[in-house]
Amino acid sequence: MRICIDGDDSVAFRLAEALMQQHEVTLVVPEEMPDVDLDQLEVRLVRGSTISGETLKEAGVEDAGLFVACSVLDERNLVACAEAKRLGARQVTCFLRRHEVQSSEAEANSLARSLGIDSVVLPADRLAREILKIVMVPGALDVEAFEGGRVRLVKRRVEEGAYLTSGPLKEVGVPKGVVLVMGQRDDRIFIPDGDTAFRPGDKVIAMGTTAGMNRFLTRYLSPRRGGREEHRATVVGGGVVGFAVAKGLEDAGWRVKVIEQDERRCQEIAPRLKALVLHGDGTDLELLREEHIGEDPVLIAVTSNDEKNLLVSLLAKQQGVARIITRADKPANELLFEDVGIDVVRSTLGAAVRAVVRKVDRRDRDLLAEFEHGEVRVLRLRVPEDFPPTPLAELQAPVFAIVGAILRNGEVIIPHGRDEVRGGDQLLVFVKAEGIEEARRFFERVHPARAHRDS
Amino acid sequence: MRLGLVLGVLGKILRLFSLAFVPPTLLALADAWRGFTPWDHALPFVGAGLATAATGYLLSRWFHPNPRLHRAEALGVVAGAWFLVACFAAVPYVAEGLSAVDALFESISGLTTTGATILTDFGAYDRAFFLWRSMTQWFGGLGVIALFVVILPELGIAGRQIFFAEASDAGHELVSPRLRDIARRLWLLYLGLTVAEVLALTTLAGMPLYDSVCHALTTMPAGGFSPHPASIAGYDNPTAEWILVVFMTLAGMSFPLLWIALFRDPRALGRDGEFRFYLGTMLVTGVGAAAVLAGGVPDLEGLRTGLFQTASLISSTGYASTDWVLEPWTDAARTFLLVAMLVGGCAGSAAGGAKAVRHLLMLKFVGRELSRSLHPHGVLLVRYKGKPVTDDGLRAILNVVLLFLITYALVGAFLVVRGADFVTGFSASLACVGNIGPGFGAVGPMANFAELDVPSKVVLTLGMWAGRLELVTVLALLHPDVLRRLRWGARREV
Repeated sequence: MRICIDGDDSVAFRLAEALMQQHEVTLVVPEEMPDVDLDQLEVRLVRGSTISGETLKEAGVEDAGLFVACSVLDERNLVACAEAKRLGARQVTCFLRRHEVQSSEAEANSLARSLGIDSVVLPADRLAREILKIVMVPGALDVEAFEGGRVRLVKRRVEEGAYLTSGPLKEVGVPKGVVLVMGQRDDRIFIPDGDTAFRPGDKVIAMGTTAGMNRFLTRYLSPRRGGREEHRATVVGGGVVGFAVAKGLEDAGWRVKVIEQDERRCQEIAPRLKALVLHGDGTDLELLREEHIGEDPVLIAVTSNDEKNLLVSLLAKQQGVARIITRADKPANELLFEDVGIDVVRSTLGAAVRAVVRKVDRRDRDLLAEFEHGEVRVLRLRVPEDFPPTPLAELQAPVFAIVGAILRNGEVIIPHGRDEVRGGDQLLVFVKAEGIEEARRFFERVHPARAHRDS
Repeated sequence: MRLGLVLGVLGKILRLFSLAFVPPTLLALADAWRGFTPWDHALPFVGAGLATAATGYLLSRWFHPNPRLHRAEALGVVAGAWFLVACFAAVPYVAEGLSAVDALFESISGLTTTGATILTDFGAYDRAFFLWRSMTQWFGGLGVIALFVVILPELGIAGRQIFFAEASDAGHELVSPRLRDIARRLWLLYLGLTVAEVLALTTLAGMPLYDSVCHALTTMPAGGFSPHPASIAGYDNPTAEWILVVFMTLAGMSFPLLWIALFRDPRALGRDGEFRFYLGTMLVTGVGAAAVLAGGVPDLEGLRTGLFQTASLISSTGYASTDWVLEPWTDAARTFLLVAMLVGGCAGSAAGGAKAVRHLLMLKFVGRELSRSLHPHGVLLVRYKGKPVTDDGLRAILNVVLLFLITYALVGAFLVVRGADFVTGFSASLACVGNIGPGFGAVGPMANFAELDVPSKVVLTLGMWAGRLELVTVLALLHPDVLRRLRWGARREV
């Protein structure tokens, strides 16, 4: 497909990078953009202003399958998208990065539709929602919901004194409706089996029904007599993301502190929040101590500066904050931060770029979610009609793959070894990235190339 | 300040006010026709009415009543109007034999809706006299509502712009965007409530029509004059007391809020921080006083007594259904009344004092400063109705509260120096400057202010006048910048 991207910073470059292998990408950048940034990209470059129809025509939007405007200026993106659509681009996607136009994606979508724009992406809004989703589940390091919330997935640390640590899995068991799909000790990822004995500090990803997960989270992962996690959080950085996170937590009844460095921004957000807004630097240890940040169970570092977020997070960890969620915008930092011990790292761009890529990349139409930075993924696979009914225990998957849920006639089955996979089922399969093709072949018993055509 | 313009506008106001003398004249004539009183009892009202009309006519003819007034001139009109109207309203009192100082005290007490009286022998006066006395309060209230809801917020004085701010941008239009409409509707509400109270008192409580009218005229402006020397206690009518509790509570509420609650959205009451504060204080102090008096859980009668006094004092009405200066009232119980007096009614009513909203914001301000000592880096806001109050607004509001406190103290000190005891002096100061009416000690609800000496009465008269205009309005006129620019201004070309 011919894709045209208009942008002026790393968002555009990352998007181009993600798409350039499969598609013919044209990148429209401003005249003054230095070449250095563009060296690595295998794309056609057009320089000029996208608000002019000339440049857009030169970039070939007339027969582009997709036009994406992702510059830092929201208004410019809106105009460019409207113009591209007028010139004949089949699909146009508009990034709204500063949120001055609309504050939520739902609102922004209705505005965009009235302008003829097919979809909008609010990276900060996405990031904020992603963070909120994680924070709201006590102790969670990652969460995902599938099939309209009927299947939930949670990643959590196994706490000291938790029931799960009392013996190997075959003795401890798991509640009905829950499957442990992945374990993690230090940096090693493994599939839990009957002999696995979890230790405190391990991380576990479990998938299951809401009721099962609630049982599992409270009875198996938390210490027997542990109090519930208090609904208090510190948000460092009161920008668009920080504000949205603070607002979301506050609306859910949390007590929130927001630390923001810029005094004018403080004055802007303070009237719109019930939270205590503190004017100061998140890396000021004195301030963190003074405000007893260490006593809050959650800290969310979402300034626009990766290094600062890291420093804040490390200070908070040292102060005793149990759960820390850190924003990293530079792609390299996401992995780096986890290496130095940050539990949850999220990036504004990551989510937004993935959203676009997933929409474009039909090969990944069955990809539902990614974890551990794409190392493991959740696929939805359809078992062909002629598939013989086979109990899961006998289904010898060739790769790191585990069936987390079976969808049959609108029902959700969280399977145990004795449950059968039958023809016509849909499976939610948890699989390592390198095993995706093999998993598809195994479960769908068809060649991926054919699947591609069929869809 | 161009005095000519101010006098011209005052002339117009006087011309209008002269009509107020018609009802008592008619009543005096009717009573004379029925043979209750001699015919000459109508004369003071006829004479005062004619004098007022003539003065008003001359002033507005001599001086150009230019409606485009500067700020200081507008304040001059406001302050001048109350004083000048009070002077003419005092004429019938003088005709009845009161001294000039006493007459002005009674007249100002009426027009400022205070309700403090210097009358000692209520039997010496006729029905027209008491009707007039009640009417001065009703007209005072009418003026207060126009002044505080329409004129002063427009001028941005004393932080008033904040109180009704919700209206304009929350989708709940205050009443109407046009000032003239606001005034007209609030006056209709005021009139409607007065009529409703007359009906309730006559039909439900069986109070005579004349007494009902007199009380209704002094309830809605939160005034407190009663034609009975023992105030409401003299009627010994529990139903009437409950009705008055309701109407006094209404009188102390913000009329714009009342309008919105009645005609737009009743839930606005729950959202209004000032109303919650006002009603909460009233209930807590009322029940508290009753509990202290009963020495435990009060019965219904005890509750009625407690709530009646606190509703009366917090709304600055000043009726009494009991003499709280005497046994079985104790200082412990009276303290609850004092709290009610200090908190006061809502902005947007005819209640006096610094108003509940300013005290509420003062408390929030104090709370903020306390949390600032815990969170020195916090960006801490004082919110009112969910919106932050600007520091400018807060400053203006605190300034008014401080001015009131200083004035209470100074006037009280003056009275004590002139020979009153501590309780009498300071409570008389609070009762007059706060436009409440009765105080404690020698100026309790069944007593009067006649025993005070002349300088004390003069100071209290000025206190009522300045207090009614929330002090700032009057004191601003004494600022050198205003006094230096005093001139006659444009005379009308004849």
